[in-house]
Amino acid sequence: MAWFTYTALVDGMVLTAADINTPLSNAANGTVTVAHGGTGLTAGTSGGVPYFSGSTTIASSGALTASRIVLGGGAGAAPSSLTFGTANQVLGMNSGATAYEHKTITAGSNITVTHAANSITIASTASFAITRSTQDVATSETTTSTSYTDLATSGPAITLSPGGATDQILVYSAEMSSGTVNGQCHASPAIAGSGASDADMVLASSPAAGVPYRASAHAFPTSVANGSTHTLKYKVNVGTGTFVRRRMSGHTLS
Amino acid sequence: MAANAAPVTSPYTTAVSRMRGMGQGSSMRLRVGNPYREAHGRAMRVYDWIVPPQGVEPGGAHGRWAEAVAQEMRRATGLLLASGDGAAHGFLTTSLRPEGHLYLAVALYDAACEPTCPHHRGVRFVPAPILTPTEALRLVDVTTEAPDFRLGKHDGALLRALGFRDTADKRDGVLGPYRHHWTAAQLERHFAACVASECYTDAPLRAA
Repeated sequence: MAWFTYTALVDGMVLTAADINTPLSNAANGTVTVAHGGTGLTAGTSGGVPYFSGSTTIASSGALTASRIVLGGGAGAAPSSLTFGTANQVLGMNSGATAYEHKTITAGSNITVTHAANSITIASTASFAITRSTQDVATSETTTSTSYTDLATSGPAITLSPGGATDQILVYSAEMSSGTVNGQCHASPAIAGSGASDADMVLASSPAAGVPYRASAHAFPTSVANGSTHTLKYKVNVGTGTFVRRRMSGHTLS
Repeated sequence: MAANAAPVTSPYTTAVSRMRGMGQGSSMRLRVGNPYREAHGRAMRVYDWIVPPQGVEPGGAHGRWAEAVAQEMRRATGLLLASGDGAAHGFLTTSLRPEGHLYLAVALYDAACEPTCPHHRGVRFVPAPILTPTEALRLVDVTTEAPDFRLGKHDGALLRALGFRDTADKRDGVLGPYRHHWTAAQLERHFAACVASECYTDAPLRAA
């Protein structure tokens, strides 16, 4: 509708005061529609903002809460305030990348999280140290076991205690001989108390009974718990295996 | 059990324990458990004793001696202690001590396990028969027993004298546990209990 009424002027017409005052009054006291560059509003919500509720309609949103971030409402919807999280949370994106969410920073093992004004400090409480260890067993010992077992003197065994979980490298060797032609002697570490595995084994096969070979291999266990012990274990595939000059060395890497 | 039919022919062993002939008996030790922390984690019967010096050297000579002992024990008792025919009643472990004595242990399985087991592919574990004391002593007869190093009440000191050492975490397979220092009468009762119950425990026997 028109925002004021007017009298069409024609040549020779005599204007009255009403012909001028009425349009001016409407202009001063009425509303200007969106179509004419206005808002069509004469009032709104205190603390709210005007928004397009339609392509030609402007409305007032509800009150937006003090100090909060304003979120768009989408087509036809009013904007709103993002609610506060709890103390010392940070604002981030949800897993579907569809909305913001408040995230709590949690301290893992050997970690502290300290919130302060304008800062979050993440620190390690572990005093990690690069450590190493070596053990030798020189004695000549035998077994006929076809499953991994200790010899009469267990080991060598090493324990690394850097102060926290670390990646480690283990190197181990033994001089081995079988009492059977082509018999195999195996040595493999039981890493952190787990069972010894053929995947990590040192293997020697004697082309003639009693012919010794000294062999070495390494393992690279990751995230090994602090204070874990690694022990070399032994077996044969047939007959008797002899093991001499057994050695294991270990080193933490991080 | 097979009879002790065949004479010992290994150049590394002696036919009959001289001390047995002297009426001194044997003090071989019997432990029940898994002192060598074998991969299955099951209890076994473990007999161990000290053998007099055999003049074997580290490596090949020591290995050949141990191989011969395993074969002689098979002939003496029927126990399969060194695989080669796809089955085993247990295993033999030995240790050459610095001055020439040999520590020897026979570990006997109490539970069967199939050759498809990833711990020992191709070898069937067969529960070892219950050994009477007489049968158990046939094992000692194969090697003889060192008269000055009989495992018994003071075996910790004897083993240390042979160079064994306790490890910091007490995991040494030879020195620990000392509980099973049994007299002949206790052994007899233990064997009887084993036959009756068909199982073993790690509990010490009550005094006679």
